[in-house]
Amino acid sequence: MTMVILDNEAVQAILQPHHPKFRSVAARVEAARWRSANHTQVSLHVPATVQVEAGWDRTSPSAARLNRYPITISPLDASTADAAARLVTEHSVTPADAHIGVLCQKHATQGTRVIVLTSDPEDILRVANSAPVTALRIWL
Amino acid sequence: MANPEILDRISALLHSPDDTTVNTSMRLPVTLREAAALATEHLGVAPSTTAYTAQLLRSDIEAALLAAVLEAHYQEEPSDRPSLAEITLGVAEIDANPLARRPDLITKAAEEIVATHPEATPDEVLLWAEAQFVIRS
Repeated sequence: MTMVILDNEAVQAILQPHHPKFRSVAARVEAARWRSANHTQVSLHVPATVQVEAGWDRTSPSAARLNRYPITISPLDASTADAAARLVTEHSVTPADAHIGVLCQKHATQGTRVIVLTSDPEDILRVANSAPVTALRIWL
Repeated sequence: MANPEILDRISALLHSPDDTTVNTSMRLPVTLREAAALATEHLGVAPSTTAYTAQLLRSDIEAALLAAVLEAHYQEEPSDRPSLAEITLGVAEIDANPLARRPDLITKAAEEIVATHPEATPDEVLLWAEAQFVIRS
């Protein structure tokens, strides 16, 4: 099982037409598909806080293309919010990056390969707190 | 290319919060049903055979949808289709392969291998790039 988490910039690359970084995101998603057994065990995830940060309103017509992707929105429940708040305090990161960090810590320790597509791999690795995640920088 | 309206509908159904269930009359091979029941009970693959079936069905539909959505995008924007070298670089990054720091070698290997094997895979490109790296170093 491979879990691909998208950060704000990765979401923007799909949300906005003709985004210069779409190809980079697509290459990494294709790579994750290739590495996953039979291409069937790759799931895309966007933390709810990243959805907010990216301005992804699923009811907006402009989101039609992004809505088409099989992306799971990871909710911000009470315990996740507490853990994310601690990461914000400890690492001075955005709430969205902290939420990504909580997901990394939660899932990368359950035998799931976690890949984060991000504009800032260093921040992601800090909030992942040594959880075995792969943070891939989105290039232009 | 799949009809975009069909893709939209599949995606909407997968994302729907409606968890109403329905009994189906799906016919399964008896042996497969027993194997699933045993895997559920003894291998811990899922809480129940029903959950196992639903989980695999969702996973498979999501995989097919992702492939179809990406392909639809590439059809609309051909310049957005990543090259074999770019996908291979992504695979190398995921594998923490040292070649991930040598995109020049991966690009060259992809060009060379595609010249004779147009359907080459990222793993074949990586293997060729590693071989070339060893020979030259």
